[in-house]
Amino acid sequence: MNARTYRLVRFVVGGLVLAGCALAFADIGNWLGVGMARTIVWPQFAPSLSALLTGGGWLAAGCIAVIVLTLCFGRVYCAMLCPLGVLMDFSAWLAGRTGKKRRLPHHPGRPWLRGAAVAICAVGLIAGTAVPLAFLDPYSVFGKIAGGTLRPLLGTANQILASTSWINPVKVSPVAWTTAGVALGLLSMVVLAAVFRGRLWCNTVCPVGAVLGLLSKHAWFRLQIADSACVGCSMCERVCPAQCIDFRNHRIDHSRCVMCLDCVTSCKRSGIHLMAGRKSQGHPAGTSGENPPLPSLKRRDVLTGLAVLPAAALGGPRPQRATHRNRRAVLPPGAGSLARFQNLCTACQLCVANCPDQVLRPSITQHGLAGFLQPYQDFDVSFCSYNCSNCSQVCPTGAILPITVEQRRLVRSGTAEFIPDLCVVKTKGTSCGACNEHCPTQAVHMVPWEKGLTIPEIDPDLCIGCGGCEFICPVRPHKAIWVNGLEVHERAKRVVLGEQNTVREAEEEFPF
Amino acid sequence: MKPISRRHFIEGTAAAAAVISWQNPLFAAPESGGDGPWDMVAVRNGGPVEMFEAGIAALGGMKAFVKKGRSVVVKPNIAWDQPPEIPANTNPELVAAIVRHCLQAGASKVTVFDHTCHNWERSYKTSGIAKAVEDAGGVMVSGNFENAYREVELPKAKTLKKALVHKEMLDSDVFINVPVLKHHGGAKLTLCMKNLMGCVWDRRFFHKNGLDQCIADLCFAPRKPDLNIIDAYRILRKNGPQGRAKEDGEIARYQMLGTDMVALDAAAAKLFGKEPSDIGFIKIAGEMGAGEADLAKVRIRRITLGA
Repeated sequence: MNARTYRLVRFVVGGLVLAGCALAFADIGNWLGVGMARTIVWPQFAPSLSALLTGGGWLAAGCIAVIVLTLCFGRVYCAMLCPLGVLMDFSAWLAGRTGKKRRLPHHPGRPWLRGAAVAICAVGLIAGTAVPLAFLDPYSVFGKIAGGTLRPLLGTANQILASTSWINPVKVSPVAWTTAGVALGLLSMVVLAAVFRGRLWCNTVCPVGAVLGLLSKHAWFRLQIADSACVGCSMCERVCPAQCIDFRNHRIDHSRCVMCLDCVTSCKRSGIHLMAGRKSQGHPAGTSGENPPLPSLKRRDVLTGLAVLPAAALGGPRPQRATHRNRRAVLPPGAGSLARFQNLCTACQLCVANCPDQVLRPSITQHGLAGFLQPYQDFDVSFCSYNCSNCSQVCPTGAILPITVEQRRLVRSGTAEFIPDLCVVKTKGTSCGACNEHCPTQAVHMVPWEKGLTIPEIDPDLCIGCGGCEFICPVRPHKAIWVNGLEVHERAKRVVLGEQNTVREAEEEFPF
Repeated sequence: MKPISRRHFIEGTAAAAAVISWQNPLFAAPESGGDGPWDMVAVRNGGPVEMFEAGIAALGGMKAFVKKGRSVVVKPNIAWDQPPEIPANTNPELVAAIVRHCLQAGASKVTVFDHTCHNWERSYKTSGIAKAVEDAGGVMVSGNFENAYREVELPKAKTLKKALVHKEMLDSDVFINVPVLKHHGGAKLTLCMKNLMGCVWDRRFFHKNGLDQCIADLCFAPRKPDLNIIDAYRILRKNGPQGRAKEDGEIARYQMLGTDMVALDAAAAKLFGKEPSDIGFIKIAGEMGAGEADLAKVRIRRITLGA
């Protein structure tokens, strides 16, 4: 394969990855379905690695494939499989088309910062929160961008178009201003960095870039500048978005090379090749006259990063007595426990997009700061279906463990609390039963009350915390029945029910 | 289900009529001996489609309700993501048969919708109604988006003075209401009047402001059903209106057709084993003069199939 063919493959695959991921995160009509969405995110490194560590099935094989690919050919993942990387290349290309071409001179690199980024993510994970990873892992960042900007945009467009009855309306859970603001902030940061500094993100704060960089340094095939061919025209250095080519010394920093191969096509003398093994010539490190990076600055970055961690403690234990005010948010079924979930969820928002009932929303403070933007169930918007386990099936990190619909029906993610003094049956003396209507397990059932009326009663053993009762309760501002999330999910009581209809005894006549 | 031929049907009804009038002195009462017109036709002991065909024939056929070129809206109960074996929704075969009869009578378009409680796409699919209707030539429309609703006033109503009602129902030439007989935790039973809640956007208003009164108020909506068909082939005996398992369903093999929702609901309550006066919305609607809650005053044609 020559460089031009590779670049064509890069454009096609990159375009597909970018479009596929954007669609998966903004799939308001659920056209893709869970299987397709999973397939699209299969090669994503960080969630796949997380799935590997939590026993996440075939999704976990994606990171192994990426590792093998990187050990063979370097950071091909960064070139075309990472949606954020492709978005950066696309933004830079667009800016280059419309504005003046920007030259990016060689930079010695910022190994301290790269190490710190990995360290912050690792420390966060060890301390029990995935928040640092959530804001540094490129896939999760891309998910937050697409889910917080593209998804509400498409939702609004759908509403406008649906009013003309050309297309069917779809339900999209509301996107909080904070969520959209964070997404816009991330988007502008990524685009501006790409336009002015190429792949700066990928070689400074991206933990995936840092890990793959360690591998790509020892890749089987690496880009090498042929000393004999080089006339020192500096074209390769100018086009390199990673600023990793030192044309004067004929050196390429393979840990930062993102395998775009722009340098190969830029070289008029065809002097850059992908070759097996290490080039024998070239200057040893340290003789190129680079200034060593300023450690004080990097150290400050590390310390700033570490300072974020104590904030995670804010998500700690809460008062025991549950009321509307200090309610615990309900996690998606399959999450297991709050501690486990916060440790693994990178808040990519794929489950939010793929929830057919649109009950999942990114949290702001509902799970505490250690769970910022991780999904919770908002029973003001909708409730969790008894016949669905899509979120668990689509989750790429294993934060929501894959469960079947049958298993989902026995997961208790919260418990319903009934406040008789607020119920319309008691306050107004009229019949209602809306909560009982919506209860799939009949945990909320109606028992006799005064004047021939019936009032709800809860069997906590049967409750699964789906929120149907809370969603439909007509009482405002505080609902008479509401669901308090469980910190550790439980198993609901299984009731064996008859699999046959009864048949009415044949009657001689009509009863009226 | 194999559709019965016209000959078979005529023979069947003739035989049934003969059996009823000769063997059962109870049905020789004056109101069932005449020729009609009937306030209500009650059919028993058949499949959902058979009973519908016998019932609609007794009412003069679908042509009596649907004139050529008219648009028809059929409103079954499709509120829940439950299969037909758990009768939380109207029988799909019955809905399809109604659609077929309307199209045969010359309807320009037959639309079917419900404002579902569960996710509408799943409910439409799991209930079997979407496929049955589309195979029969009807069109499914969603009832779960507010922009499809229009505000109307109900001047004669007591509590529900204003409501957002689905445009399909308001703009239809012919409106056919097809509830299924079910147990209901709040309203005790769900029937014709209750099924109309699926044409209204804000149902929490009902629950908040007196469910029974608001249900009865629906009788005074600007658009009333031209025909009501209560599906009591398979009825939900308990854990209604959603149902939990197949054991909650009972194969009862009844169907009631007519224009008076109150009378139909009263008859269905009897069928369920309850007194109409014990069902709040039937009692209120009767007192408000929305229909006849006293079955003794209703002329009922009773048909027993396969006797």
